[in-house]
Amino acid sequence: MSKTATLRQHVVTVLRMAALGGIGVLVFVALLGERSDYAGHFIAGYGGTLGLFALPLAMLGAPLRREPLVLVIAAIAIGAGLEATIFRLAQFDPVDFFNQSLGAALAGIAVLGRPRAVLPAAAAFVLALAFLSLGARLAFA
Amino acid sequence: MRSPRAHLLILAVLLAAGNVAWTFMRSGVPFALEGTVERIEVRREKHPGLDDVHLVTIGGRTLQLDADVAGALHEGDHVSKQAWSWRLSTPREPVRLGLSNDARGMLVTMPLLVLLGWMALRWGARSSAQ
Repeated sequence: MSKTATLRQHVVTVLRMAALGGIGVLVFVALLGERSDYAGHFIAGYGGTLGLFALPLAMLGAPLRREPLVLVIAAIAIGAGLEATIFRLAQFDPVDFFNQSLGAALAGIAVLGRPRAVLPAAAAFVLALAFLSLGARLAFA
Repeated sequence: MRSPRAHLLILAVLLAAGNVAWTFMRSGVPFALEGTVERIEVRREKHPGLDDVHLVTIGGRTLQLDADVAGALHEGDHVSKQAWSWRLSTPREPVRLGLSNDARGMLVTMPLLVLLGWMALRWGARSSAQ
């Protein structure tokens, strides 16, 4: 594969990661605008899971095949633990859990089958920070 | 074993369905209720008045209900309804149960997000095959 084609693949990966999270949070804001906490949990789950993908994306190897499902399940478990402990206010809220876990699943879909490289790994890290920050703002605004 | 693509999509469908189911259950419609309202508790969340959790104990069973439903009840009321009925009998006029804004929003938002994931999987398959 030529250098240009390889670079195009990595740019597509970055665009997928940005677009799925961005469109997802816009859908939440458009249709459930008064519940900004729902959008916040969704995009925080998406961003947190993208952050988990930064390391495997940076490693040498075949495109991501099985890793996304494993990391998504790990992210869902971490999210459940956080929701049950430090983010438990009134009670463990199943809707918050479903929203953040759905964000994790979409993050897995965004990187599934994508080739590994430094560019998408760095983008995953930066997008993770941006989406986590947006999630915190929406959830607690 | 099915592909990771299918697993991720099935996972997304289950989570989306869970959201729709949970917000619908808060209407109280799926439940058969018979007994005295023993306790109505409002627990504050991140946005008081908007995302409060309303826990109502009826006949020893505690349910999370929508604010409109919990607000129509008083401690000591005898209430009854059949499962899947949209009317809750109280000592005053019956309470008409309905979908909250959250439930209605989820009914549209969740299918759209699953569709987004499905389209991304299809697009990903096409672009990685090139």
